[in-house]
Amino acid sequence: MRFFLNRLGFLLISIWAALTVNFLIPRMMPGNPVDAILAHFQSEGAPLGPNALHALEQQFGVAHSSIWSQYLGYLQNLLHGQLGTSITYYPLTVTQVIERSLPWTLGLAGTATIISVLLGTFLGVYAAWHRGTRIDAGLTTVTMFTSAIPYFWIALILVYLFGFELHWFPQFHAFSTLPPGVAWWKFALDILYHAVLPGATIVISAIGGWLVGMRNNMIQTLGEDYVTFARARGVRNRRLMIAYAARNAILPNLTGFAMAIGFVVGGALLTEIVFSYPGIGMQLLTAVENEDYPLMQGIFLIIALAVLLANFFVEMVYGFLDPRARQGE
Amino acid sequence: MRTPLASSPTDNPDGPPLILDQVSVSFNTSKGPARAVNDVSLTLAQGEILGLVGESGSGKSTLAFTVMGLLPDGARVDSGQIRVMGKDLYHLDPEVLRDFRWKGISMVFQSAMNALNPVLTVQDHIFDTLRSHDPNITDEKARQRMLELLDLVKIDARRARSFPHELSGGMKQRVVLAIAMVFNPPVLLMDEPTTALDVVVQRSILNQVREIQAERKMAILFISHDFSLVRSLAHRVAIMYAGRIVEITASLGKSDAHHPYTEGLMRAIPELSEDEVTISGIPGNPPDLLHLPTGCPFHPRCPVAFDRCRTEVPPMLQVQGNLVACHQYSRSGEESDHGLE
Amino acid sequence: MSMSPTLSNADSLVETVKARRTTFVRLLWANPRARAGLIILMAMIVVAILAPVLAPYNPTSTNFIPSQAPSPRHLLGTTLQGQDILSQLIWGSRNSLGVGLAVGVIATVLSLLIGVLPSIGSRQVNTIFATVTNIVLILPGLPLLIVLSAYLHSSGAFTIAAVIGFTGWAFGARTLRSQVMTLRQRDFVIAARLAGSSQLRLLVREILPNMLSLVMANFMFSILFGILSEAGLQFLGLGNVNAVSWGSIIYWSENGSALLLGMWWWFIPPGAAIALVGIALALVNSGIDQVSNPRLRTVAKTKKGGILR
Repeated sequence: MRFFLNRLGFLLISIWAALTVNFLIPRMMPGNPVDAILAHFQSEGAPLGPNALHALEQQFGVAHSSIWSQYLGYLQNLLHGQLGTSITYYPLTVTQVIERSLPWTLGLAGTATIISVLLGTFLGVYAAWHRGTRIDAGLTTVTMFTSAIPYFWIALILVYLFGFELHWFPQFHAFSTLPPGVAWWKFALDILYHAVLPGATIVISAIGGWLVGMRNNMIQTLGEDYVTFARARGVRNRRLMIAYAARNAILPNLTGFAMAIGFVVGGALLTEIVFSYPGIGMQLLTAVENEDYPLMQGIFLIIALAVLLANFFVEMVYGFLDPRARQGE
Repeated sequence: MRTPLASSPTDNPDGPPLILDQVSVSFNTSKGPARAVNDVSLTLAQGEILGLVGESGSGKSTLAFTVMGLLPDGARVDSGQIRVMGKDLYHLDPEVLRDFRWKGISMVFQSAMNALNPVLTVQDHIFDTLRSHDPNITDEKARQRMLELLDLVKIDARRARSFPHELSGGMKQRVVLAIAMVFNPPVLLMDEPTTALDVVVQRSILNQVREIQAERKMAILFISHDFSLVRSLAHRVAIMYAGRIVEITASLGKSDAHHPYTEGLMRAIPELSEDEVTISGIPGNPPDLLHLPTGCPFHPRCPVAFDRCRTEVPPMLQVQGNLVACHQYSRSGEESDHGLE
Repeated sequence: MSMSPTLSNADSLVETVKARRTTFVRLLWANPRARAGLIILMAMIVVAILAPVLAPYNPTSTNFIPSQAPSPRHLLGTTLQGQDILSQLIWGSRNSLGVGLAVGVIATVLSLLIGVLPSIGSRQVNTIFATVTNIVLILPGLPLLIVLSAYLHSSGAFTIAAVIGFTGWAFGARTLRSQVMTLRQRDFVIAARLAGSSQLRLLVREILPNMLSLVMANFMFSILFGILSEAGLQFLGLGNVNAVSWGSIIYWSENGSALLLGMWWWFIPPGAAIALVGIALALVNSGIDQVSNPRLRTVAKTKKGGILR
């Protein structure tokens, strides 16, 4: 319980920190986003109403009011789920834009990350168990290379090979325009078909860290006395491998999740951009290119929240797996 | 001169529970093979506590792991035979060996701190051990056995649900002892079971071992670097130096004939009964296992060494009822056959 | 408190640690992986330094026949705009490695200031800095970088390096911090403290010298982080797209639809160059792992699971 409260406290503090960073960025950076936004609408011939203008000013702080009241107003807006209006997709709100793109990202990056964690952990256990064999050497060497390569370059090569040269998979987008009234499963298959290459990009890039980390921890735990003691007692290999070696080896890897998740998210964003995948990574680039500051900041906030929550979830798993952490020192 | 054991009558399970015959073990190191155990022969009689004493690095622990068939990667048995209850462990089918270990022979590890899996409870450890050998055991029976074992080592039954980090060092060592006793094995190896514990806890655990041994009559190989501790516990003491057994003795009186190394060890213990306490160590250092001296491994440090000690490995000699591997007795004593009684 | 000398015992301990460090370097060089990585890195640095000599053409010159596949005249072909890609690659290494190096320095200095320096302060100071580090560590770096560069518009290499450095110090700070915490418990540090060394002196004289290898490892990691981040930003067109760097070559190839035109020679070499740096650093890193962690040095094994039979 203390462990849970402790981690919950950290979650809340870090969420507050993310909100505050998000609030401070436009105020600390050179230039005035509001002017840019107003100019944008002026040139489009659709001037903003006074309400929208007020909201913008609260968000970006061209202040008639003090920074504290801006901050409070900002937090209040967030509580009501108001992230402002998108400029690129006017009159859609930022929340609406994110609602449309987030499922794509969660579906693609989320699934691919889970696959790479599970597969990497499994292969790491396997490699450690068969350490010194050709399979072990092969797995560790290959993943050492793949994890050193930038995501977007893997994406480019996959697109070039399997999309451009071989025509096995579509090069871009998340789905094709199918005739109306087509069966839902055809649509689902189409989505899966489009997700193969971007998904593979994320899995290939992310798997190495998990595999090598798990393998090295596992070799460490296989040398522990409690594993030898269990072997002496006749504990069968399968149980030895899972409950004794792997269960202890995975703990440091989970601690590293906090650091890894940031890289994975960043890589997933770039992957989306290479594949013109309609997730929030693509939207973030669109926002940056159009100087759509409200959308940009909304997306940053959502990504930060998602990462913080994922991290909190992993810490709960850690607590479940490690009695020492659960009971708290 | 020496008869190989394979043809000896010790195949029968009613013979001595543990027989080591000319066992040699070496490690592959980056600088070449290192002999950790060298031509060791030992017999453990039924119901006997045999102490095995030596400095760290003398090969005691390696010997224990060799007997268990649990040598780490890079170590191998070069020669010799090990028989536990008449079975040659190194020629058993892996699955038979897996089952035989713990039923025929079990072991208490040096560091109880690390011998327990931090993410499993005491109960998990005992259940795992039971189920590994009897997959169909009912929960009820397993629990019953666990309660008997906890009672045997005087641990409160409520501790069954505790994780290792919730137990004190002494309790962990008791739990390890309980786990070692799960199948009442006829042979028990104890590798420095009390080294990491404070003196009071150490004594209470040793008393426990004595009690259990008196009740269950298993044969114990008790390994320690603590000469006085072993002397108070064991029926016989084997002294190991640089991978070799240099003496096996039942009487450790000062007037008895001993190996010079044993005498050095005895001198290193303060006698509280004497008025003047004089402690003198053994000059020099134990040899590098990669470059063992020729002849008797102890000769560079031996105060009585003579020419023959530098060239010839001394055989085990029967000297006043003790077995001593030292040339200084070869004129007076007669050679024993191969160190077995 | 006077400037009392540290215990001679502690000094000799430090001496042994130092001796161990030189053997560590020798072991690292003896490790084939680490040596391969170090050789690759040094070769790339030499190329960057000698760019004016090595590059066959001016990287920005558009005087060549556009969209040529690799040929003896243009070993890596030309771009859609008619630039020589090999020359761009060689000159680009200056920008990419330079930004990487700058990020490495900035992030390492920050991680020392934030991760190590507070250890001489009070408990509360320590807790605060540890919490800040942990928070910055899990805030997603690349999205933050993207937002920051959007505000900065296309800016110079140093601004980019500074922004990347300021978002990328947390990892180092955390690892260094935990190392300090471990070292503070060591006998020679305790001995020096009992001998009256001040906290700062303790840190500078006893602790820091013993974590130099970790600081170096972190420095290399930060360089890789810098190179990858710079490439990512350039690829998105958020840096200065007119500066020649590996990332901006890929940006222009994307912009010029190299993928759709099948101009693989345009985007594969710059990515390969980045990957090569990454692989070299990974090789050094796994060499360090193997040297400092003997269990990972694989011994020839007889059978799985290590049961000797």
